[in-house]
Amino acid sequence: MEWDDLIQDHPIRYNDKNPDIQAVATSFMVKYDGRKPKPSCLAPYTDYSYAEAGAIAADPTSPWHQATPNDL
Amino acid sequence: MIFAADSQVGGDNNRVNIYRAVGETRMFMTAEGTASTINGWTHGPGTGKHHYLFVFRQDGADVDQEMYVNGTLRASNTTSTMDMSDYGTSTQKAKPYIGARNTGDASNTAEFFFNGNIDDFMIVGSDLSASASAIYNSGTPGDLSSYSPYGWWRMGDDDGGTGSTITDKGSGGNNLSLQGGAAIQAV
Repeated sequence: MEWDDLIQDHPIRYNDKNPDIQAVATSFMVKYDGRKPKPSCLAPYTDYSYAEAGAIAADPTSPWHQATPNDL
Repeated sequence: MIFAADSQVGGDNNRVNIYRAVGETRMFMTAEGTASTINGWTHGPGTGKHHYLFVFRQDGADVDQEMYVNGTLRASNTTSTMDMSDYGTSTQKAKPYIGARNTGDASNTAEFFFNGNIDDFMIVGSDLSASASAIYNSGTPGDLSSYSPYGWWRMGDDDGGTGSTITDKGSGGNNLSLQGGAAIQAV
């Protein structure tokens, strides 16, 4: 499955190919297992913003304590 | 990362990310340089199963975003000045992931794996906000075929609870392959 499959070539695309489609919905169930996701400095595209990653690195209770944002 | 559909190389900048950050579940969208994020529903890890429904719809010159948790609206953004037609213009062949995100190049490498379980993942080309509670169904989503999903992955229920392939029950027919140590698990 590729981006084009998901967006360009199927009914959720809103454009001249499927002009009647004006909304998309995504539904799912989740259960977190308790582990923190690894933060990232690649704000805002990943799990943490740069500022958040810096704050986590400065948090002595964080497993990533004293890491620099670029290390996260 | 819970779900990521990205195209991020060669000037393409269209993406939908659903992820967890500092105890929150968030949805981030960007289309042709316009970005919008909704943050909401803070809860600690390990607090049981939750149902999420994300909706984005064209509303004049804006795209409205909504996040429903367990059938209740928890966060929304109605001011993002983007257009649904911006999606689908990408020329980048990046594979969407459930439970990870794509590194964003042709290698289609997965990263930022989700810590936990994901079940009954559905993508529909319509506004399901009025059905949030019905889909949630008190924590046990039932037969979702009436919503005409493009993608509907039941995460093992249709595959005998074993194997490395997740059958797509939607019209798209995009079966998933488990990667990175992911496994079918009863929860």
